[in-house]
Amino acid sequence: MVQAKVRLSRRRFLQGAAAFAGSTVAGSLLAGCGRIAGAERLPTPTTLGPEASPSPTPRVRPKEAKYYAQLANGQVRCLQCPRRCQIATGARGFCQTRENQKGRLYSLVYGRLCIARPVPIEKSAIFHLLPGTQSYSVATAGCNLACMYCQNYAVARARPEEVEAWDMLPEDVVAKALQGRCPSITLSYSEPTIAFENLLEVAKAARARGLRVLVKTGGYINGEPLKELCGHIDAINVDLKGFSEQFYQQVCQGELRHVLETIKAIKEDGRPWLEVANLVVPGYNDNEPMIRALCAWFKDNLGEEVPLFFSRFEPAYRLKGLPPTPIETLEKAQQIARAAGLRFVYVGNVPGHRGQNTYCPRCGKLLVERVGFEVKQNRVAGGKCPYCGEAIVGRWQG
Amino acid sequence: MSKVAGSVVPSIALIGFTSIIGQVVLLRELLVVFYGNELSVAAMLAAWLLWVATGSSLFPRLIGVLSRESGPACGPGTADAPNGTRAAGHPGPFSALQAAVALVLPLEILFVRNVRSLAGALPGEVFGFFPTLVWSFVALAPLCILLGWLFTAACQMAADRLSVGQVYLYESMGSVAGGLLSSFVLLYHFDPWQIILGLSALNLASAWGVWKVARGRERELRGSRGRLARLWPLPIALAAILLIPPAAAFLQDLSLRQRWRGYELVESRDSIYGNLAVTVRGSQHSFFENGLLLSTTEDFLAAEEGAHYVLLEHPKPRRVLLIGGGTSGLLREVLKHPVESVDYVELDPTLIETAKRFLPAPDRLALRDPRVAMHFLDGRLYVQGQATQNPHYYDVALLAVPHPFTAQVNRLYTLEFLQAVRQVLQGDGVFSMGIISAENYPSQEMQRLDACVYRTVKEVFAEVLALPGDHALVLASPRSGVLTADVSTLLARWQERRIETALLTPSHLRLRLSPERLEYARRTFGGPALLNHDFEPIGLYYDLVLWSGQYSAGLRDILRGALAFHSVWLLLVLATVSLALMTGITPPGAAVPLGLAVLGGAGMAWEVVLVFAFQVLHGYVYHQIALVVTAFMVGLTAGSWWATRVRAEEAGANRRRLALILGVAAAYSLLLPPAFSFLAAGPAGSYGFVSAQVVFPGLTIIAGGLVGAAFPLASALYVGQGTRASRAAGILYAADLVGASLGALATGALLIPVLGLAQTALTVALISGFGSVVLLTRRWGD
Repeated sequence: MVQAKVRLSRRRFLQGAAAFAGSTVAGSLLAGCGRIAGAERLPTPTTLGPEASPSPTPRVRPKEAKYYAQLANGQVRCLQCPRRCQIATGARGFCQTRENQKGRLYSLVYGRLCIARPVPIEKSAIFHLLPGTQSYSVATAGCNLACMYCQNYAVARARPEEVEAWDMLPEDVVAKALQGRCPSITLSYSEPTIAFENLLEVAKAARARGLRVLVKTGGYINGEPLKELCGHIDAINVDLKGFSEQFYQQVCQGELRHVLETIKAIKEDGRPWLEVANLVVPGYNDNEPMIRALCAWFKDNLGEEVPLFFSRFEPAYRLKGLPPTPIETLEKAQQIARAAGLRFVYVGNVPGHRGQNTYCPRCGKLLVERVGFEVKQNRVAGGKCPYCGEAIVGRWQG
Repeated sequence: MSKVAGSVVPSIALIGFTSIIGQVVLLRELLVVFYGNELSVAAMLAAWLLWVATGSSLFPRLIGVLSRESGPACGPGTADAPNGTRAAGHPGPFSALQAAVALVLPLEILFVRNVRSLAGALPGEVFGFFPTLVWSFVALAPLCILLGWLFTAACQMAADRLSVGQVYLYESMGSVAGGLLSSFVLLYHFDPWQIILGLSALNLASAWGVWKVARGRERELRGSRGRLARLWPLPIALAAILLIPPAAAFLQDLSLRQRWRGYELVESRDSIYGNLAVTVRGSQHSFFENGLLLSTTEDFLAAEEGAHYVLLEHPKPRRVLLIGGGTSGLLREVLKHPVESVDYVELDPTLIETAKRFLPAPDRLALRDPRVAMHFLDGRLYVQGQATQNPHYYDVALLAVPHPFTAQVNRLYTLEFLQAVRQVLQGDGVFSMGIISAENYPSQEMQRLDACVYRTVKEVFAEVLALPGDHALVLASPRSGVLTADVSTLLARWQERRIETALLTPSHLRLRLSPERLEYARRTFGGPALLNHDFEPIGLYYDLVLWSGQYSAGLRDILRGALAFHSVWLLLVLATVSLALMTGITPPGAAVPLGLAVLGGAGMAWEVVLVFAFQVLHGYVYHQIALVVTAFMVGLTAGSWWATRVRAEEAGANRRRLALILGVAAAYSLLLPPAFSFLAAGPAGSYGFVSAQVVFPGLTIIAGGLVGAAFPLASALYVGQGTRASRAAGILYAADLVGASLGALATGALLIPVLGLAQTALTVALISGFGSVVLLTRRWGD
């Protein structure tokens, strides 16, 4: 091959310069027809949601975490959840919401809410507490599990700075709930227990104003913070995602044993009302032996009274290729659990299904009829079945 | 052409034939495994082209270096001189490579169908972009490297008889034959395994034949003849006919189970449009289209919400149009209203044919209901036809198609399509379309997509009502005052029509229309977004960003940034590259492969643009699109045939011709957008036939011709400079393919979605224009 000498002759330079100039002119002509994204416009303010527009740069300061230990070299160990992340300066834990700032651990989501609105309490899958009322439901970013079918991945799998969030301090949340005449506040959607400092303050403020506090959680929390939490909330629904370590490992990046410990600890503590939900994913955790094992463990450790939900999976996030759970499967699970002696077993996430009703475990009469997201009738009187007098556990009165 | 040269021509054509059919079959297989949006498909195509490029340039050199073998340094038509250990034109390597292709073909299918297990994907897990990219590259490597290498080996084998340009020409002819055969015969009548095994048998036969002929030549030289050996095709053909059907059936069964591990597969069928699979769990059947979940029987709430909200919005729905949704229970629910007729439009008859066997009784009855008329054609084509022939006919129109993840689907989300929908609706008619959204929290990506859909609908209809949810609904009417958010009115209609539902209750309706939800709808749909147009399909882009965000925040942010892409940047890059080439900082020879790469990329871009525009203007009509694609290859062949004729001995003339081709390419590119606008603006249907049957194939032939003509000219220019024929072939073939690969990635996945058709064409014109200028000014070897 002919190897040309690298030489910049005057003629070639002029040629190049001409091409360059020509392109710049053409470029500015083209610029006129270039498409430019419209300026970011902010959503209109909601009446019962957060005020005005999301605040991209928070005015609320990160709050120092309650449970962590300082290690050598400015590192810290987060003691909030079983992951016990060791976090270097400037880094964050698995949940992406707790950051080591100069040897101290801070929660980045304190007072930073991305969901805040009234929702029928039935949507949070807590059935034995104030049925038929609205609950003011809020969420912060982040989660300490990574479920592949997460319905709320946009909140749960995001870093706090990636979500649209509002500055809403605990007292603001309470004021909004009162304004919307909600007798309770629910912390849900993502993982409220990793926003522990926020959760605790909201709970305290809410109870001070006579509101009930509900928590929906994956149960991935250490014993000590859990103990403290139980003193400040009224009800908790724990997602028991599957009754096998393999399932937790493959699908949720977690460990089953920690969740079981949490559920047992709540039951032993006895202060908050406990309900448990199991999302049934077809082909993963829907086989009969697993459901039976779950029911047996449930009865041995929690007794017969704790309500249990078998909830329907819907294709979402990274498991979009998996069909939803057949309703038949949920009904079968419900039968198995009832046969195992559990007294309150529900079909979850199928609004409109009769498996959502509460029946008296003794006389079998319909006590709470739930149609869609509404409670058609509630016959529980004074915590008892009006037909046979059987005690129906729950927190039925406001 | 000598007799001996003629004998290897079919084997050379077989390379193109195998490439095109293998590509069609394997890309379809990859689609069933991965998520088939435009970016993924572009990545698969890019993987294919890049590996062929590697195979044609890198491997022969690598092996050459290893074995210290140097081939003949000869130009086209020059007699070869033995130079090294082996005589030039020895068919051994070619024969061996072709035999290897035969072996690798079936292994490819086995591999692709096992990719999910190999990648550790869980059942139901949808792949993100990076695994798609990595596994496409891994899967396609063996076959594509062999195919590329085979081209170089063919040039080497035939160096004494055929020029590189001629080899390219014969290979293109094989592609044309393969393209026609696969589009019009094979995909209609054979399953993937039968096609691949047949292809294997052909390659094996050719490998053997080439080797035999060579041996025969040696014997002839020694004076002996092997007449019996000439009957070699017979036993191979016989064996193929006998063995292929049972082997295909066995392999099909085995490999399907691998693909659908974790499911209970009850049916898998390949139609011309793609793969349809049915799985079962208990009594619930699920339908998959190209590996993506389409619908599930017993998904009552989705069907009930999809049908009843919109039908209740109309006081007296009599004539209904339903596009898609026949397997999801939508049709069954629509028929619960007192409708007089339902026109149900579905593209693929195989879907309904297959689904009928697995649908529950109510859905099967719905398909047979006397009020239902089925139309098996492109939904867009149907609506456009009705808009002119039967305007203002329907009371209610329901659009039940996936979110705009491909150009094909996006056509049903554009302003122009919605205008046609308005045209078929009565003034007080109601339209509804579903769109993915978020029940609790819409991410920014989700807001953009939802806002794009909402705003585009709002641009066309007088009144729009959006109901948020994971499956959001956008309801619209051409006249304001038709839609109502008044729950009592809707419930009264529900009662009056005595509609019984499995799960849907009045409380669902109350919740969906509650002030809180309508407020939330504003958050989800009210944001800023660009309008989705036919020739500026921004919906595709928004969907791409949404999908990428579920897997990689980094990719999402890069794609988000792409919206700020400006032609100015491109121009700066182009100017810099041209400057470097003109001023001689780079070796002067680089200009020729670069020019060829530019044309390769332009060719790919034109093909994508033409198929895209065709679908927009004339609907997705399978055999017509196949014809457009084939027209490109016909053009390619004609172009290279022309170029092998006119090729001059003088390098300067060849260089000027190549520059001219690039210049014409630039002009052609500039001409495309006005041509499409002209065709689109014409009174509907008036020159539809001419446009579809003459203009489009014509335009495509020109595109192919420009690309095809470049190769022989470039190779003559290159070889004229003393580069060895096989080496030149490798480098140029690779340049062509690398360009094509980048063209595929950029055009389908980014340029069209972000910039739109006109600016894409402009971009291609700019690049070609610069290439032309560089070639004209850079005198090399004159």
